[in-house]
Amino acid sequence: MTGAHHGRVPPPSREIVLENLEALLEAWPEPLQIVVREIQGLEGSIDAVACDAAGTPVVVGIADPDRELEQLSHLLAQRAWLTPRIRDWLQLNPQLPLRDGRPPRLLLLGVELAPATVAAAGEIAGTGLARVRMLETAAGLVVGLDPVSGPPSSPPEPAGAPASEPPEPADAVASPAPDPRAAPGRSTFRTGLHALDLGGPRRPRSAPRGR
Amino acid sequence: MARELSDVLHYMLPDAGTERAPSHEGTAVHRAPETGALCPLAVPVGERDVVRVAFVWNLTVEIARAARNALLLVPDDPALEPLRESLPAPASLEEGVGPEFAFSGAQDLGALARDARDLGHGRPERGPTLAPTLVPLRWIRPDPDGAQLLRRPLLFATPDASDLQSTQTVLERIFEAAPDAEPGVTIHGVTTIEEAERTFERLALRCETGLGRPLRSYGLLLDDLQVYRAVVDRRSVASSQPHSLAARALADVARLLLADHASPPPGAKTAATP
Repeated sequence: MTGAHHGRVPPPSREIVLENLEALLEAWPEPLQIVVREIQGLEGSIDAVACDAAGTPVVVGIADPDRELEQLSHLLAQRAWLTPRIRDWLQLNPQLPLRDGRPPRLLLLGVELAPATVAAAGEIAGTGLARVRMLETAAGLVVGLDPVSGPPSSPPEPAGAPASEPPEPADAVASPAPDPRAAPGRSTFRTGLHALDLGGPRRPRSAPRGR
Repeated sequence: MARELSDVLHYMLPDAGTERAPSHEGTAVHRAPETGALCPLAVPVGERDVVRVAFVWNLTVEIARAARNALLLVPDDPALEPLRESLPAPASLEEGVGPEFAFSGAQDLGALARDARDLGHGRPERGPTLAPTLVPLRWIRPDPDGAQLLRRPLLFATPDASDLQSTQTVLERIFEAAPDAEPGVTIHGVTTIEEAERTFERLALRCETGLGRPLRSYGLLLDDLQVYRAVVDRRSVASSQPHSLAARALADVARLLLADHASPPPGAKTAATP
């Protein structure tokens, strides 16, 4: 965030960050364009999916101060959920600015970003961090981003990687999409209902099947 | 006594005036929604799948109740004709309330898939729409244009041995038509969660060992009778029996479907849509 500021005020709430997310991401060193906001992901929601000028998807999350590491893990899970769906989205709407085949990046926005969060994010290729600040300017209160690491669309290129293609995140490389034909045994019964709902004893659901 | 689907399909529709939707020729789509991508959810239905079509209708309602865009896509098929004729006319549906309907004049899987794709084009202001799409069983055959529609189909199964065998046969046909399909199954006709889990496991085991493919679970639906009563009342289970087990189970299945299918809520900004 540039421009004269007269002082800092208490950090913005999550709601304020969400309200200003589009402008904040556009002001990122490499501007990001929001593709969709607040979508239902894997057992939770994703604050936003954006993309950079090259069409690389970026999973954007807003961290609560006491849950940064947890929400970093959540972003990782959402990236795993999102990756195979990019192609579906593009088939459904070819005019989306996303490009298939580009591993999604992560961008976690937080007001604190503790050293442990920064260290953990540094171990995840393609992950950017930014502190969110509320600034008092002559024009009034504005929300700004201070990049801590990243930007997510320009991670370090691994040696020998073609300059024109973004590298696969290390974790994505380690877990290529499995061939379903070669990976039986993943079927797991799911329900949010409990036995109590039907008058029986409650027990955990969605446990892996035993055979 | 077994009843034909055409005998009761008209009961499944909301009471929305007397004007009837016109019939259609070719593959023109009727009452196309305005914006956004369409996420089709193919649901194979047979001519006697009365209760299952009711499930689909109620699930569409539940998706809409979860503040998501929902659309029921109904193809032109003799078995579904009463449903087509009984759907409310476009003008009688209040915008933004409940699920939308779309009629397709498709006569085969490929045409239906093209209609589903066309529905998703040119919808600039609304987020993606989850669209349960009825697919007559006999349409499920290899078709390059139709394979995408079968990418993530939803099937219903009961503990009945013959029904499990029929479901497996449908799964085989789906994989033949769409080798990369990721089918999901909702269990019904059970009285306990354990019974549903065992049923799913039996079917999943067959699918994994016989077809080498995993199966997604989309929970269970309860109390078919309550669903049927709601159908006869021409109301959704959610509106007629909102606190019933059937309603809770429907909402749970809708939640699982929404979790697995990209379906941002209405009003979600899709900055890059046309």
